Amino acid sequence: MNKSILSKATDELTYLALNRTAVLTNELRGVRFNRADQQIVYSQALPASVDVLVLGKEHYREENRVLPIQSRRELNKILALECAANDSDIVTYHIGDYIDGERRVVLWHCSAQLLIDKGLKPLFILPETLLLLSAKPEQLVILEREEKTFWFYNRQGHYLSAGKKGLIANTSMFKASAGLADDTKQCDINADNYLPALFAQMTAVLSGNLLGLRTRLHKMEPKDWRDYAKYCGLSAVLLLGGYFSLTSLYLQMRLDSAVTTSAGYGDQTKAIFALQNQLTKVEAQQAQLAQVDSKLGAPSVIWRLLSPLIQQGISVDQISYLPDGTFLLRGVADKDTAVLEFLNNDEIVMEPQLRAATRSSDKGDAFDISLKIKGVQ
Amino acid sequence: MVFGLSNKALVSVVAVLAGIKFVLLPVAQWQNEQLAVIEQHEKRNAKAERLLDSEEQLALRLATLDKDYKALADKYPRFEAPADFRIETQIMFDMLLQQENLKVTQFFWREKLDKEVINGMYMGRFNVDFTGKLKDVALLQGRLATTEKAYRVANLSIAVKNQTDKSLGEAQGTFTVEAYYWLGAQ
Repeated sequence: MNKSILSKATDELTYLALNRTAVLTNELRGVRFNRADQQIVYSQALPASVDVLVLGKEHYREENRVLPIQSRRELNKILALECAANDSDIVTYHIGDYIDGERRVVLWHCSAQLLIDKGLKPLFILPETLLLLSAKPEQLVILEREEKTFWFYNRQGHYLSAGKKGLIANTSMFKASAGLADDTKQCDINADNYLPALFAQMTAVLSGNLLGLRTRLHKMEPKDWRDYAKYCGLSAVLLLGGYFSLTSLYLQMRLDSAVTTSAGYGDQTKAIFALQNQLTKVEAQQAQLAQVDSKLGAPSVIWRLLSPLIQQGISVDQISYLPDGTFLLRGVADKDTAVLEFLNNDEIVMEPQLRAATRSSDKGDAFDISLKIKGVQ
Repeated sequence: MVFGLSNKALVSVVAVLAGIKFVLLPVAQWQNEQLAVIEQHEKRNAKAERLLDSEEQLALRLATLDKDYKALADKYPRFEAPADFRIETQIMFDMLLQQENLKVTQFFWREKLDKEVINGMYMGRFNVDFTGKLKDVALLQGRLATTEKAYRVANLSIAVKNQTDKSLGEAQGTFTVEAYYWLGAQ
């Protein structure tokens, strides 16, 4: 049979809870889960501490109430106050669903003296009625144990239960008294299937009625604040000590690792730094040499300009080149303006101009012109 | 009794504060310092990693640059001593002018010592007076501007005579030339 993880976990919780559970019917007995047989059985000894007590029908009185309170929280507060006010009885309760403007509540009253006599101080009391009716909903449960017979039935949140006594001598009489039809589905429980039926829904019942099933026998004892201070202080010291130790250890490891890596890189980077320095040096040398190399001397293009001028009958007497890149031309032409016009028309010539006033003679105009060549200084 | 309890509480508070002041805060400060040192190391390591990654690229760039530099440097002659440079340059330039049918009338160095223009490279300046045909002067200057890179005409002055529409004429002039060279063994 495949069980879901949730179902398995619930079962395991139930089995654990059984180690602290006892059943009080005619006698008080502990229970345990026998893993070999996969069955819940009575244990030979009582648990050291009975935290959950399953109470037989003969030990409690059942009371059904209908309250017009929708809020479960408010109802819990009211019922808790009422339970605390009752000194003689230990009262547990189950709050039903809110239907048609009213909520059905079942209360179980158990004598406090009974528990004192048995030396019990459980955290929770689980009435037999609640456990059996949760395991067998919408069925008339007929329980036969220890030569006694009990009937249980849940009629829309109204819990009905009775033992064989007086007029309620058989099932028919119970049905008649509870107003149940003859064909009501019923379930017989006897000594053989009593424990499985009892504990089938224990975890669900407990978790669903945690507040209602509390016994309030364990009162909070006032504690000395200094104890808390000690615990808190000690915890804080331990936590801080642990935190700082771990972080310091981590930082030290990280530092060691970084230093080791750094040392490893040391020799390798030395070579690269040397390479970088060499590169910078060569770059600087290259820049310096390029600057020297780009320095131009007197451009030979001047001869391309002079040749056509001479062919046109212009006589050039003096050619000079100055370090600032200026060419000086002196000569004789029919018209100095013709020479200037020729130079102006050439696109490589810059700033052609007469350096001195032209002297005219029979041979022509004696010109003195300065000019620059594009791209030279 | 109440006084005693208060004293105890006071001692506890003082102990806690002293613990914070003398233990917690110094440890936290030490951790911050450690963290700063770690970050410094890690930054340095990251930089070193980047450098290591770029090693190949650097080497390639250096090789290329070195090759270019050598090619450029080789355009200039190398001499063991300045005197060698001066003698050889004078002979070379004299030959150069002769090849262009020009006659050197005077040659002299402008300065006693050559000037170091960049590390290891020197420049000597000389004047050369010459006579010859103007067309040959033009050819010489063209040659200096194109093939003879180590010589640079910084200044020139040429007087021309006997110019006709068929001849550029006779020239008599002076060149001031800058000559560049490397000094010392390579």
